[in-house]
Amino acid sequence: MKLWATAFMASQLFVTSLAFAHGPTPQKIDEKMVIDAPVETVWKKVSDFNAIADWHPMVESVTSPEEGTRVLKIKGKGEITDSLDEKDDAKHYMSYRLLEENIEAFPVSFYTVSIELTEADKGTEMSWKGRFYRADTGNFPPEQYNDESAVKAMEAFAKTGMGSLKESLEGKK
Amino acid sequence: MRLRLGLSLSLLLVAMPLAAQHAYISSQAANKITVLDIDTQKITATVEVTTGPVGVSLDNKRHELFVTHPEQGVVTMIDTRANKKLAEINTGGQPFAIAVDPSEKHQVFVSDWHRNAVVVINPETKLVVDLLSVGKNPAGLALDNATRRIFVANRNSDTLTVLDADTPRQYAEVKTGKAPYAVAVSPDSKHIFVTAIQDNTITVIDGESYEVVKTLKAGTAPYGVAVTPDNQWLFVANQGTNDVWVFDTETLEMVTKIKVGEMPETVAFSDDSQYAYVTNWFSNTLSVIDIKQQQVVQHLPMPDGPRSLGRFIGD
Repeated sequence: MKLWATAFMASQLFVTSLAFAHGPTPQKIDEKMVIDAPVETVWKKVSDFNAIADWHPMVESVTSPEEGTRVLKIKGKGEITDSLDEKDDAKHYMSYRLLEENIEAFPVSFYTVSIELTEADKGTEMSWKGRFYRADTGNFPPEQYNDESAVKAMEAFAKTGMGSLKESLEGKK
Repeated sequence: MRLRLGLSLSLLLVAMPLAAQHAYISSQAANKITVLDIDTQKITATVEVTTGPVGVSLDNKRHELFVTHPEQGVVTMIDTRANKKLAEINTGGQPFAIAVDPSEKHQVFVSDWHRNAVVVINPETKLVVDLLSVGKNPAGLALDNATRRIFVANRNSDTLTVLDADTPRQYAEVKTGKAPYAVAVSPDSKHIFVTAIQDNTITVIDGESYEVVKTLKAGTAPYGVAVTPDNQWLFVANQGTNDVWVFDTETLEMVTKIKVGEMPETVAFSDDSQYAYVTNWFSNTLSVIDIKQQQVVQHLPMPDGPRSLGRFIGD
């Protein structure tokens, strides 16, 4: 009887953990930064999908198991995998999505991100938009896996990345 | 005499204004339902609701609107004549897509993302009366009154479940594309269309045999899907490509792509099949498309996070 109860509880736990994958209520970020450098210069850096570790301080290294897929080693943490959806050199637009989540490394269960560069008065305006779901998509997430933590992580990743690009391209390093 | 009667009848029809149609837009981040008059394109009311409204369904006969709140395990019931909240029905779980039974039976079907089920609500007693088991993380749901079937897209099983609207019976579980999201049934009940977010397809299923007849290519991350009331066009909203693709329902060929706002989510039509309305989740707008001209004629601002999963236009 006891054994049965344990097995039942274990199976319930398993069901709960499956629900982590995607949730019903997405969140969004909409970040922008002006970089004093020509669009083409910024695009050259940003559009190289597997070279993000060269300019993003939160990414330790990148491997690419196949074309259009990149595995990011998050600094001091584990790995997450992105998949490229679209890259348009003429429009300076790219979009990608989270293919394999790792909520210990990055507290988001799924995201799609689009990056777009447009000419601004002074150089380039970089836009970083994301739609994403918290790490625990159940209705009672622990604090580290709730919407707030997910928004914070997504914002920090976008801001840190763009800030670091700005610094290096504007030559204030 | 007969001629005269005919004439006066047709005059009467012309003179009689059609019941005013409205679009009901749920804004997930603003916790609001925005009511838009379809004829005047003006917002006529805003109803405050609890956290995170997503799915909507209208009961035109009883003048009621039902709204799901997945984060709360609640369905809000609204009187559409007074635009006042009538009740909050506790469903538990994560109620997502919703469909009111348009027949005499007073019942409402809701997909429950978390419990892998379809919840059946009695709106008179405000109680959950049944829980029907479906696949993993059911998202979109459609009810076809002519055939009395319910179609449920199981997001994480890559299937469509076919249920009976009158008895707890399952007819089929059909393989779809990867991560199916929304479901639409053609007005003649011949085809069922299911969008699949992860492999960018639309599965076309035969309405009688429940066999897949064709797989259409969509834009990136297709979400909302709907067929015009005149059964001519199939509209698919692609979240990744920020556009709507229009297919001919006869040939199942794509006829045009129409740019809309950012991250479009759902599509619905005016009864006369002249206009399509698209909610743009990211850019907080509602795009109005002239169907004959195949272009956007207006972008209406909406409160943060417009979604309105379901047929969001009615009386």
